[in-house]
Amino acid sequence: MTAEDRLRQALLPYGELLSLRRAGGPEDSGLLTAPVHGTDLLVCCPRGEANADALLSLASGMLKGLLQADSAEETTEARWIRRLSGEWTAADETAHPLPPATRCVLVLQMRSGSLPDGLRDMVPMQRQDVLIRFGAGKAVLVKDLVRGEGPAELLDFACALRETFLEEEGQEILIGIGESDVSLRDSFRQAQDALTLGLRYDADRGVWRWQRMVAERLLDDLPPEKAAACTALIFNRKTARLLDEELLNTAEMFLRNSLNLSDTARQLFIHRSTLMYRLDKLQRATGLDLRLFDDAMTFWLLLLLRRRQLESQTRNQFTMEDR
Amino acid sequence: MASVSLQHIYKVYQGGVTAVSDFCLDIEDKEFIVLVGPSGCGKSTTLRMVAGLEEISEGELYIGDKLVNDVAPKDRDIAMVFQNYALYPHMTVYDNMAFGLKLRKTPKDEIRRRVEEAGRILDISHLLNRKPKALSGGQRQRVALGRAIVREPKVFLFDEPLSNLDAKLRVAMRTEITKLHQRLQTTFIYVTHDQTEAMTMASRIVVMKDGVVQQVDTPQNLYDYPTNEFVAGFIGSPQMNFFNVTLKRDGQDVVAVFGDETGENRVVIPRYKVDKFIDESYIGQQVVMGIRPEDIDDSEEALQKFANATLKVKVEVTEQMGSETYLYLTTPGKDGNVIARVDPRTKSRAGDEIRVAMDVEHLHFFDKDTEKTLLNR
Repeated sequence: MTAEDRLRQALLPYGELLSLRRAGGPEDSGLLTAPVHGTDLLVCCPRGEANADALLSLASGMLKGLLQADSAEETTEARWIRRLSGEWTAADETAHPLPPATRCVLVLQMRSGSLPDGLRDMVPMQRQDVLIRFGAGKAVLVKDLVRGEGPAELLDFACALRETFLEEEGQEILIGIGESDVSLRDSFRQAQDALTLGLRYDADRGVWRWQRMVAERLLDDLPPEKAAACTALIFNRKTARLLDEELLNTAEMFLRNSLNLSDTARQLFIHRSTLMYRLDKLQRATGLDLRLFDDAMTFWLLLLLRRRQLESQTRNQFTMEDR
Repeated sequence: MASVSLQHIYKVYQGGVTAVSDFCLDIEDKEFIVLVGPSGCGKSTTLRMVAGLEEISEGELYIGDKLVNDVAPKDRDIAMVFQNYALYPHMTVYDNMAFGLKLRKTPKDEIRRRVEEAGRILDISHLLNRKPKALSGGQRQRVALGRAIVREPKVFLFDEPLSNLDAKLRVAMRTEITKLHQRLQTTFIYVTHDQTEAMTMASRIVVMKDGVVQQVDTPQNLYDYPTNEFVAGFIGSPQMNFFNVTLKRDGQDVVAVFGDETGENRVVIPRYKVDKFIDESYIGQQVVMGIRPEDIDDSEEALQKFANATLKVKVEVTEQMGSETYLYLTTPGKDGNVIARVDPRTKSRAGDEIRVAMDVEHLHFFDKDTEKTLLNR
């Protein structure tokens, strides 16, 4: 994850107040503006990872001060935001202890637009679940898990919630799920990471569980230059003509069907021989035979990297348009 | 209960990708319409536009007499059943079914009446107090159907609801959904990529490819009178065999001569079939001939009956299915296999060189370029 991504994530709890925009100047200047209470706060996002950490705590501190200046007494919501974003001290814990329980964090965000007003009614809560909005576009659900409830139930819950939103609002909600055996702060970060990485690497799905995203997390740590070099191994000028949409779609479907030729051919409604022909064609273009596990895995990883590259290009394009 | 009318519907995404093009269909009240086609053909997009989950780029959508292009999904009086049949794990079956109604502030008594009624319809009354974890896959699917039924919608929308079930359960649920349609007497719009599902459930089927409707008709008509090569190949399993043939006059007869040009494999097309040609100018030209596997037979009786329509073939593989046997055949001038569905007591074995007869009554002909049928009904 780049320093800019991390900064954006760290500031997410203040989403409504902070809509980060690139300041003028060259793209790599790292300057961002954050309008806070009508005033533009200029923040700097250096490329170096070490500096980014320092910046995060500085920016968070400043924001905290600005936010708390409005009210002498901290709201429950603001307290939860502090608890999740890692500004929670031992003294805070003593003053506002949580009853012992297994909890995990889900971050909710609409695919487009803002969360509906009736959000609290639409999310079925139980026991000591907590739902906190941050900004117009996101909410955090801290779920209290009872005995017997685990990752499978969380996933079911998230899928059911998606259907509720589709049925009632006609809107698609996206859900990142953190783990339950870590601190709330870490679970929150994981849920946010799951959402960010999910949208970057597998945007068609709507529910992403952090723990299942090992490959995505590993790939995301690759510096952009290395990632680009890897992607170029098969997605390059030489192969661009051969790797057309039809061939890539076939390859993706074949991977999704766990390398099962019959299922893939049936879903694409092509003859098995046509599928074999396309896989041969892909092998000629890339040197990878997707019928072999090792080659299929290599292709899948490079496909993920390509998605990251495309997502980054789209993001940059939007940023340019924003200027 | 309501009719649904899609008038010249288009879906064009940002960047100009057209997912659905000029979709026109009038669905009558209480009809069971199935949209079918290969992955990426636009069938789910069409359903999502009816549901209001996708914006309509162009065209008009009516539910009943009401134009609903700009009506919010929850106000369209529809209910959708999704692929995942996801249920809230911490809620009982009753609460899962009631949840949508509670959100709509439906009175408690009314909720109870509807959930209990849906429970009876789906035969899950005894499960209402159970949690989803204690249900089988089929029971969960029924609860998902129950969630839709309690809304008492005018139109039910199904988006590949059986694709996550195993083969045996899928067959059972197919029958359940058909019965449900008969019992509810409501309009059903159902999306699947499985042509068997489409054939067994639909009052009418809409076959789609690349965002374009290929044919709308009853299952039997689609099977017997496909309007083009794609529909002919898509409907039916194993799929129709296609041959490149040249239509020639031979005295009074019209014959289809197969690609190998040896003249050994030729089919005399009966006069009544020739009369069905849209345009006789195709005689003398190369066309595509289609015949379904069950219309190719290796029995003595068939060889005598269709003596003017036999094909010299080599048996590559035989697949015994119990009630029938599939012969995978090769013949000169045809790439790939010809499949015949024959009597299970056939004597043909792999490696045999035999002759098979074609039932000329059921021959299909298609234009080589446009792929459209050359026959009138």
